[in-house]
Amino acid sequence: MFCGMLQQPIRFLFLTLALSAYSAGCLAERVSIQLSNKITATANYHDGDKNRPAVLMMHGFLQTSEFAIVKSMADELAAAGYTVLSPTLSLGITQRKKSLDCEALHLHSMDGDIVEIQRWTQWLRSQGHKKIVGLGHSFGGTQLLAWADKYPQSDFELVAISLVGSMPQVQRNKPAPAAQRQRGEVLLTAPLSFCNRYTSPANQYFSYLDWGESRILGALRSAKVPVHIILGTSDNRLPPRWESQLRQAGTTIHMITGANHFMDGTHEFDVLEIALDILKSATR
Amino acid sequence: MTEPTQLYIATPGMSITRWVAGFFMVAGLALISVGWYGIYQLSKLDDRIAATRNSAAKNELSSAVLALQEVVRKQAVALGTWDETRQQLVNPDYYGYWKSSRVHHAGLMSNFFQDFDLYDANGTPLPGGTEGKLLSKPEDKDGITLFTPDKGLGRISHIVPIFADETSEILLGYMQVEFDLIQALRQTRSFSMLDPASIKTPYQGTPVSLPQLTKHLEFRIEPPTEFAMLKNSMINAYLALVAIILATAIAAYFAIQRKLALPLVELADAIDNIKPDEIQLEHIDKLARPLPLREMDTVRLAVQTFRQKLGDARIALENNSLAFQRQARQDALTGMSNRRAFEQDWESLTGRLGGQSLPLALLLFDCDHFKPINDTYGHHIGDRVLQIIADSVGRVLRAGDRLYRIGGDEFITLLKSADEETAMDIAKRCLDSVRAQNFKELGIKEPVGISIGIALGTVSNTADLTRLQARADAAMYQAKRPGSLKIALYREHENTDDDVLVANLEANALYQALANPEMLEVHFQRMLPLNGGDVYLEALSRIRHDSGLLTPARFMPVVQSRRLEAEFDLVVIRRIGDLLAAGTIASGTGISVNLSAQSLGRAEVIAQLIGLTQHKDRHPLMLEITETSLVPRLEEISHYIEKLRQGGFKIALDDFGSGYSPLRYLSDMPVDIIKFDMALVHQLQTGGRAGLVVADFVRLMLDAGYTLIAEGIENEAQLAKIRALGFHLAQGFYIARPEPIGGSRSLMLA
Repeated sequence: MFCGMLQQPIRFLFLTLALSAYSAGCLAERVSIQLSNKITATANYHDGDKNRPAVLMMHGFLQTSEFAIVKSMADELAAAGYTVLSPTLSLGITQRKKSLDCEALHLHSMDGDIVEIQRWTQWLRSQGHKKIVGLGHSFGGTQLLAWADKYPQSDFELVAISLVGSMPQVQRNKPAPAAQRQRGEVLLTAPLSFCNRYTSPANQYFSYLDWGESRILGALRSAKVPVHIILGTSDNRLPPRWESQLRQAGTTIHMITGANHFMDGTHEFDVLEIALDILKSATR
Repeated sequence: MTEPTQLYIATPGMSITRWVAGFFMVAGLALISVGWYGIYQLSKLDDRIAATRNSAAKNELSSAVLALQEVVRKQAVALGTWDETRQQLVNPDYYGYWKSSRVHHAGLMSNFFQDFDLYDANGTPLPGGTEGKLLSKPEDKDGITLFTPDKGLGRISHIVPIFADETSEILLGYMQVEFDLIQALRQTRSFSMLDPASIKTPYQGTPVSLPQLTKHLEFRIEPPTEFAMLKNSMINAYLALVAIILATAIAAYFAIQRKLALPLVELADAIDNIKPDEIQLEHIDKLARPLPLREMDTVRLAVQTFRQKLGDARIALENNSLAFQRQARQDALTGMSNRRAFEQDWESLTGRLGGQSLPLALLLFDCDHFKPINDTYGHHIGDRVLQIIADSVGRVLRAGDRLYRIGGDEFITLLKSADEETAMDIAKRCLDSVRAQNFKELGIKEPVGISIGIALGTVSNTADLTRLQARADAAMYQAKRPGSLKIALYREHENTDDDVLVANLEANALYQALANPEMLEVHFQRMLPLNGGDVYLEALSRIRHDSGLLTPARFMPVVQSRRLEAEFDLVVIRRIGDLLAAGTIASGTGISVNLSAQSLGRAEVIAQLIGLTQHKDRHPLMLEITETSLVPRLEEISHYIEKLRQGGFKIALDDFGSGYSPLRYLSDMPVDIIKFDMALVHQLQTGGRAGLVVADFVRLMLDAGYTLIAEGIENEAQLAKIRALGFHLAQGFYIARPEPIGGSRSLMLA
């Protein structure tokens, strides 16, 4: 028992030291793409072994590539030799650097995000990477699923960490009513995802709201690419019975015991380990 | 005689009340002066500090403005680099909403920013924002801060360029924020030197940067907080001190007034009112109250004790004075009032009369033969006699009458509102009372009695009393005359046979005769020598007046009452001398001159008599002195009598037997001749025991060598008798009547 208690910390320490030593010489490159004449999107790029699948890291809703789990995963995977592209969705903001506040005026849409993902995927492939594994955290996984749904891909696998939809997490029963869809470009303020007051033009609001659990499950059922879902048993942001629903959708579920939505602490390594296994499998 | 003690008169000074008030005023002024000086110094210090602070304030403002500029720059840059800002510059569709709802709530802009606006790269404001003009298009990513006079200090603009990228190559637009300089300065900096609210600028030129604006800023310097606090504290403390001191001073003033000044004033008043002649009872109460200060109370007790002792001393003094006055007014021997009391009472009486007249009866009492009694039985018996007389007279006087002893054996009383009858009645009571006393118990064999002279009149002043007293005195002399009733009432214009005294006519005649001696006639009565010897002529005075010839019986009382014996005798002697000098009296005729013992005490009388001795070879000289006048003055005039004897006079004791002459007096008297009073001579004739006694006495005198003269010979039998007894001379109407020179017979003429 005592050895079992020490096993996790030892692994953490070993991996940390190993990755630290290795990552010391692996700094990300800042790359950018011009989305429009005014908007430039940026991403962190780790150029790795081209014989290995490139990893497209996608942050969660309104976040950036600097988000903890995203950055650490990107760094660690890069340290593991993988090419990692970790973009920050512009969300309509040129060279966005910081996460967007819920209270901000949101002038972005799911469709725009999907298009931006497509542009990054294209860039990645332009860098000579054929196989891409998308690794999305939280709604980032959803967005990768939506992109994959819209842009069917070959040589693509999806790993969704803490996959969730856009349904308001706190006020699940109080998203903007469907009638608001008619407002078009009129701004509305309603709960969305973890934002209690999300202001956005109605169309753009609903573009995110449509990607709730049912649509995700639908997309999963119809997905043409392998999908791996990593969930934490202590993730309280997951909708009720989400794991079972996901399993029913035919996805492979990796449960990390005790991990929350952000895979804090040593759970990150569990995620990394699973991701590496998936990537290893994807490499073959 | 010791000089009276110099009195110390208090110099007028300021009362303690004024001293206290003055002290507090001076102290108050001093306090105010000190305070004013302190405030003045504080003000000067304040000015110096203000100057220093002005310089420091300028520096403070400059540094504050610079610091503010940095803050503004940072915030502006942060705003400019804010993702949402760049979002709006890219997609300004909802700029208005975003500006109003998001900008101020994002927490990126201090609340001193008044306005915020985005402008596109051309400087055009984004739709939905203000219509304000972009003041500048800075290229520096830090932007620029501009002051425009038309907007004032409340809207200073900071403009920053906003780029799409970090390399600042893609310009998205501009952000212009406006801020209130003063509000911004307040929020970003704590000023200790100046009041940021007072910052203003007169600058009206072109827009200038903030550092340039600093040169044009004006401000009010805050007084140094600590100094301001100190100054205020000092002023407050001073005012509080003044108030406290003022209150304390007022309280102290009233306390001192009540506890110190007023008690001192009362004490001083009490001391001032210590009058030697009266006691101020009301001040005694004030002195009875204890004083708050121990030392003052000690003084109070001392003053009280002094006053008490002074009062006691004064009372004792008054008592002693009263006793002394009583003693001064009281005759120590008899207990009656004395002359002093008589004079004081009279003065008091006349004072009360106020010029009005008061009917009064004056009774003058004189003890008969007091000197012989006193000399014979001793002063102790004499004193007892006077005491008995005084007591017996005093007992019978009326209740309101007072008896005064005014002389050796003289008493007087004033009977107010007494008529003649009342006065006489009282006099008789007095006389009877004295007579009723048993003087024999004292060992006195001779009868003791008094003579009373009464004078009635209305008096209003001392002169009236003196006149009344003189009349009473004259009346008393009348009362003393042998055979009188011992009471004599002074009356004017009355016959002397009625035992009353005639006043004005005789007095006038006497005074005229004294002034005009030629009015004085000397009549002579011959004395018959019985056994050989010289014939003598007794010189008898008469006054030739308009009313006729006045005999001595009429004017001698006046002479005696007016004490004119010497003056009268001088005139008589002079007249006799003139007659002797004129040679109108036969040589060999002796001349006998009557003289009063009172006159013998006067040197001029002696001299006149000595002058007569020039005639002694032709006229033997005899000097007759009555027994009654000689005996009381024997010691006094013996020297003069001896001198006259040596001058050639023979001294005759006249009216022997009419007075009181015990044998020892007779032996001591410097007399050569004894003239027996007619009363004794008549007793010789009547015989009996008295006659035998007188006869034996005659023989005794003859054996003693005296020359004897018998007066009052009125018949042959008497003449024979006295001849038989051996008298040397006889005198009487049977022998000859008095005649003037030039009269019928005889021996008057030479």
